[in-house]
Amino acid sequence: MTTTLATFLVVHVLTGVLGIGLHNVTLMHILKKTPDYASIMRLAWSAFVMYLISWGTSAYYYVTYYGTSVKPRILAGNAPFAHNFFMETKEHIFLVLPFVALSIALSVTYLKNNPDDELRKKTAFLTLVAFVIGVAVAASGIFVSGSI
Amino acid sequence: MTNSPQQTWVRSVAIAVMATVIMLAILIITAEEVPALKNWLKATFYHHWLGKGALSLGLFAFLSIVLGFIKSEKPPLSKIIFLEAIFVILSVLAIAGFFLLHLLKLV
Repeated sequence: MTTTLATFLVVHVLTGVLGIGLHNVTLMHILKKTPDYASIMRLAWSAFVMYLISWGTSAYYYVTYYGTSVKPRILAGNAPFAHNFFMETKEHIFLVLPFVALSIALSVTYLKNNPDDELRKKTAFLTLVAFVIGVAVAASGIFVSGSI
Repeated sequence: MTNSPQQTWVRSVAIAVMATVIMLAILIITAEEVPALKNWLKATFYHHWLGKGALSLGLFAFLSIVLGFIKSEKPPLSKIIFLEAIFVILSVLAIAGFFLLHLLKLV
């Protein structure tokens, strides 16, 4: 693995984990009785940016390295399902996250100027969904890494 | 209540997300079942994953902008965001369910 690929992989993992953490904090703040929407906005937009960076860096690693150097080793090892299920699922459901993160960021931006309790609750639910997907993707990534 | 530009963006992006995640689920499952589609994605976008990403970005941007011209207050934003969450859950379950069935050699 080249230094560039290693750097991209590290950035992909770190920004992905940061995105998940930021959505967790976003969710905790939205659930407060009197949410501070200025802070929530910063958290939600930061999560969106983190997912965009994670998306871009993973694309480079996945397209140029994973398929030729990592996937064959997983398939030849003791846990081929790490690729056949966990990686296949992870790489595809990850495509959904940046879009959802943008929608969450826009919704809390709107809430800052237009408090709406029903929208606050539904945005919290959407953030929970994004958080759970993020955790599932990260857990799959850990499993894939450990399967080689 | 007036329909503010922010409200319009929240609505149009949420609806665009719904359409994009459903398109993604259909595209991902179909590409696994129809090799010609996966080969076309590879030939056109260098890699099938990049193709799926590019097509989803294209559809999302197109719908977000087009729907941004539609000024509507109904259904309320809370319902749209809730529906969006349901669409995302269904899409993710469809993708994960398909690969689980594929692993078990049931599809």
